[in-house]
Amino acid sequence: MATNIEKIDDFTWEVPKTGKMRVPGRVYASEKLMEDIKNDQSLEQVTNVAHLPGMTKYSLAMPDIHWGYGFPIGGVAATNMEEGVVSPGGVGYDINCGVRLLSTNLKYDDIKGEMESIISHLYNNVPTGVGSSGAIQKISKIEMEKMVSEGAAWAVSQGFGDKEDLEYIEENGCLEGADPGTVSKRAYDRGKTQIGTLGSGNHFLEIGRVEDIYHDQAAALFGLEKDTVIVIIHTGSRGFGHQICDDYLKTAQNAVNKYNIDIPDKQLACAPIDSDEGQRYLGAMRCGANFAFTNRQVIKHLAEESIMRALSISPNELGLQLVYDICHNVAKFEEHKVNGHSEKLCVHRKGATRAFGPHSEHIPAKYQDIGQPVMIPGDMGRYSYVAIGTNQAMEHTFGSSCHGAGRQMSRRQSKKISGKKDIYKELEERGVVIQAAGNRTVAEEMSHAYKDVADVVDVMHNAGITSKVARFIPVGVIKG
Amino acid sequence: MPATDFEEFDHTADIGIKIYGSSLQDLFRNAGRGMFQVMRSDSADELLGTDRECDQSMTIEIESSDVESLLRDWMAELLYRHTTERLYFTEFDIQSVSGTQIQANVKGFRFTAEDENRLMDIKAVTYHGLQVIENSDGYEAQVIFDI
Repeated sequence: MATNIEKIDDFTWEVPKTGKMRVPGRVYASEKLMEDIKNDQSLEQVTNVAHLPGMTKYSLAMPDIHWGYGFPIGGVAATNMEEGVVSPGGVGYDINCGVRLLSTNLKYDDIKGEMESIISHLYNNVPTGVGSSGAIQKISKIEMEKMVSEGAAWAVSQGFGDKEDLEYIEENGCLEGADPGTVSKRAYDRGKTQIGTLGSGNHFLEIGRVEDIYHDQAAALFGLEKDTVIVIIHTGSRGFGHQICDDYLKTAQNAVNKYNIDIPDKQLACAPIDSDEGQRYLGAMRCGANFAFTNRQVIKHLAEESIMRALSISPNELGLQLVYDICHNVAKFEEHKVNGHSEKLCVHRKGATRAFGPHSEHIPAKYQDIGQPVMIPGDMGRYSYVAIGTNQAMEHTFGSSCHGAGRQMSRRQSKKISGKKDIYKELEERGVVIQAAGNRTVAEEMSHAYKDVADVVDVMHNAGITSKVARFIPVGVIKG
Repeated sequence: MPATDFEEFDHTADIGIKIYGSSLQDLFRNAGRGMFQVMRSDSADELLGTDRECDQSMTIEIESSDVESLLRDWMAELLYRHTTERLYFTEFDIQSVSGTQIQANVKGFRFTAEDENRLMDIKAVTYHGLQVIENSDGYEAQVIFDI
């Protein structure tokens, strides 16, 4: 049955509150994107999420939305502390899958002749695929517990990156309240050899160049000029986080029965925030998030080493600088204005990014006047963006924005289309040097599989949620 | 009788497989085979498995509340062993299976660092769309992997 959806303005739509919905649904999309969105169960899922206890203001959906497990990908759901629930499905299996943007001192003309060498060094240095050969092969349980308590700061203490990096990571690279005792042995087993690995699927490490600048002041603060070489790292908490989600989905399924939580879809399994089960999931999820912050910090170091070796240059000559690192699968306690007063909420973002506006105490001092950087990667053949959060985002979306292009077709369909053309030639014609673990991932991740991220970013920009700063073109990528 | 033991089906972001079996034993065996087929980074990489001595074996025993959960838990256990012990399983000898328990001997080989790039990472065996149906041909199941 089609979901009833009403247009509010050119970029905003509402699913009216009916039946047992506690809040309306609110979807950010253009007419064109909405036609795609209606083709899968996304809107039904937005509606279902609106039924959860403690839901506040709206069940939100960003323009890159597509259907997922219970919660759609590209959704934001904030629940209150008193009667609200926390749901592992509202975060996703890949806890703190996220994106890190780095700038360099290099211009594309300086390196274009060396792209094959750079990509080859990166591919050999940064494990992809099932990736069980991480940078840190032997780590004790006690040390791992320390790592998932401290996050990126632990990585810095082990020699990966600098302490100056920490300010430029969401939550300074560590979610407080991580409880290593709530994480299963299975999760530790899965994660211990995967520190500093990329994984597969839509994860990647990309070299790009700045093609367009839209916001001079912000671009200058980010160290971006036309043709600046940038690096984007997209990965998450690997088997550690995936196992935590797996474990706590079972806990949540039992909690739904124990606490008599009425949900329209059993994949929305959840527990009251204020319950033993809820607190244990939060403690474990934060460990997962900290693993991912550590992972991206280690990969930054591996990328730096690889590029320096390929070009035979020094760290100063390379000048690899962290612009920002954001999560796009996480649940955090944040203060937001609700009906004129400040309220502490559990904000679930699954395939959505925090986008705090100017003068937020949670963003670096250097970015106070402009707002938080928001990285929005597109597919590997086209382009990616960096934008900044706004006060409109704070007011309307719990300071949240989209996270990427969003898929528009299945992996199978993508492979079929890829099979009819020379995908490597297509990438070569677009000027992208690629090294990937197998043909399969490349075939599944081609541009035709994704929405045009420009459409997604334009909706957020025109709705005032984020402001575009710069656009990057990929010139090299490694994939698992 | 279905012509195939398992096949992929469309899902926007991830990979789903339909699994067929003339019996529950057959179904669970084909589920294992299907998952390890999906893992191949290059699906034409037929050599993975045929050029190796499958000298690693173990017994897996699981209990679950119902047959769908059992199927998921069985595949999740194989995935866990795969990633933590670096095993690629090629043979699934289901010794006994009911609606709530399974005992199986599985065989495979330990994959090398070089092999890792030939293997795609499956994040999880999900509950999404999880289904086991009994029909006139035996059994049909559906499982979606988070990729």
